[in-house]
Amino acid sequence: MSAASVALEPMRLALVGVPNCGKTALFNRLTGSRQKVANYAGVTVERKEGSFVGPSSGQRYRLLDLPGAYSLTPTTLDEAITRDCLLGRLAGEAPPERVVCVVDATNLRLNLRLVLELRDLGTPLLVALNMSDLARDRGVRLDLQRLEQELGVPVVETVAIRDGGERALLERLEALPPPAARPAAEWLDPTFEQIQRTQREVRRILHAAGYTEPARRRALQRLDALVLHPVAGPAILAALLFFVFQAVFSWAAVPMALVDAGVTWLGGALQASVPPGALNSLLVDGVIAGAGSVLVFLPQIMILFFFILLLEDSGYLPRAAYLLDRMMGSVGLSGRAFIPLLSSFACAVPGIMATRTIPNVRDRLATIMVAPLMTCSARLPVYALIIAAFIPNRPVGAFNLQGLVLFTLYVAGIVAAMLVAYALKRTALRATYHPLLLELPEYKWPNLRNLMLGLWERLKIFLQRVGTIILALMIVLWFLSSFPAPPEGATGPAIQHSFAGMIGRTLEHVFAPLGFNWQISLALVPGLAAREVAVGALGTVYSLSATGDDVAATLVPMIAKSWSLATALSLLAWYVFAPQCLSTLVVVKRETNSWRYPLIMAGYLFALAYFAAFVTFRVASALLT
Amino acid sequence: MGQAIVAGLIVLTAVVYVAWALMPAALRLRLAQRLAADARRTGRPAWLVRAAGAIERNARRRLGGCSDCSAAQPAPVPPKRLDTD
Repeated sequence: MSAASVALEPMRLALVGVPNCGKTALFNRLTGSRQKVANYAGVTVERKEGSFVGPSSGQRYRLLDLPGAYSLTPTTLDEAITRDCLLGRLAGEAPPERVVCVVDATNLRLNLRLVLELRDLGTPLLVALNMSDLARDRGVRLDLQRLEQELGVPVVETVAIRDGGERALLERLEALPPPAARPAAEWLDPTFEQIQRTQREVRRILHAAGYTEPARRRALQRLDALVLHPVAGPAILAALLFFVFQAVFSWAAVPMALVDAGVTWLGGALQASVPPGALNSLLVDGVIAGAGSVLVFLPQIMILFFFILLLEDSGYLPRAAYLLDRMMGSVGLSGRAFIPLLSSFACAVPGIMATRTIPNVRDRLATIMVAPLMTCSARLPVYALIIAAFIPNRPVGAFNLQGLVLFTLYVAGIVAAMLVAYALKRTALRATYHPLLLELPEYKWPNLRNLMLGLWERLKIFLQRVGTIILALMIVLWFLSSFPAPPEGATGPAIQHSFAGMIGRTLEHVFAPLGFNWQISLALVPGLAAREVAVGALGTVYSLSATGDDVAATLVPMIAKSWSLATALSLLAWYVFAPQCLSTLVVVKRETNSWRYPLIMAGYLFALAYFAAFVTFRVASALLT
Repeated sequence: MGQAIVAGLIVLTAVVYVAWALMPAALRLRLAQRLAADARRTGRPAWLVRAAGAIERNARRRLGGCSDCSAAQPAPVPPKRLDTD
């Protein structure tokens, strides 16, 4: 093999380190990717891949970002992925030729055991002393050269979140000699004595390198005393969540009105410029009324994610996990379930994948089974639509009634998840309680760039979703709602004689006890693909059902006129439990390696949703008449 | 008539897309691979080969029914392990 061909071959490079040491931030910095980063452990639960070119040598690197691991003796599925990848035990995946071990400079005592274990593997190793700026600010002292000497591997300072913070790492990486061919690394789990020996070696090295533990600021200590206080802590958490849901409604009012005006204007312009006919109806009643009615909720979703990203970056979330550990423990859930359940508020798919950090298989299954009960962002448009149509926008004390109702719906999801977990943990998934061992990261001011990038990513994802699957489903629904044409002499809207009308009327028999009319029953079907599609489906169906002046009206006044309050409350109750979207079921199948759990999940969620909506409708009908 | 033809084509495209997006990932990948293999046969136009290649890459990248969440974008199915502990 010639030297030129060697240079063309990408070199396999792995990023390894303990959780929350900044691996993914460094991965993003090196590869230009935008993988999710946050200030808590367990964000990366699978290997991620990117590539970059060495600036001086032109060497291409294939970079693997591996899940965080405290050692090469795994206790969780994500740690096992890291170990297996490093040892070349993954099928079709050669072991890395070089390893960069990222260590948190502010917490070297916890990080060095992994460095020593990696060094013993024999793969060429480079240590990236990350967050070195933070360490210096906090008064950490360290003789870098001595540390390098003691470890016997190159050590370089990095600041992964800053432009150019990776430069020194690249220079050292390029200066390393080419890796020699060698047999696959061997690894045997260490005995207790060996682990103790390694820990003693860590202490000796740190002492030799003159490492001093960073002092913690008094203000942060006081803040933690308040935030983690058994009474004040939960009160602060509740107030924080309450504020977020209030903001989702009150801050979004103006931008939502603007988007709504834009959508209405576009619909009017299309109506005026395209001659009446099939294409006109497709564009106005299908595309604009359907996809447009989902697009209106973009500001609310952005505000919700703004707060989620803010909390993620600040270091508050692990504290919330600590506060809620007692509640989780009382229903039998592992404290480690908090982060997966929290991720499920954005989308159940990453939430279910994040359960890989839970060591006990029964705890993991219980968390997977309740994750869909957390209110994912796709449910927000459905909630917002019904709340806007039926709940008056008036103050209740210092609060807004609409925000209060939204908060209640989120709480209902959490309470339902806890009750289901309680039932599961006392029956099919009984297991001993595992106490929460969680590293509390230091508080940080949220990074504005991260925040903006995170919001930009969410914006792109939402627009892409509206522009692809939602748009396509709305077009299909328009076709089903427009054909076949009504027979001669038929009265009422044409949609009643269409395929969609027939499907809706058939489903109405199932859902009539819940107070759902045929339009709602029909909208639930495409809602299985993605929940917010139900809003678009209602937009299309009502647009095609409307006659005369109603055509110009938007969805909110239209459903306010057509549904009773009992029906609206029943639909809200349905969506608290609503059976999962198809993606979630597919991920559950993949993560549990069986169709059993997704089928059980879909079955119990449907039963719960039906029961809750039925009771809500009956009680509300009795009270309101 | 012209409007009906255009609307029909749009609906047809939407139906194909919905079926593609919502079908099981393994089936989608098999279909994409077959399409790409067919397109690579000699005599096929270059644009068809490129399009089929792009469809195959897309199918590899996608996890499940929708490409909405960040976890779905870069996540391949976890590779099979050669040995077990």
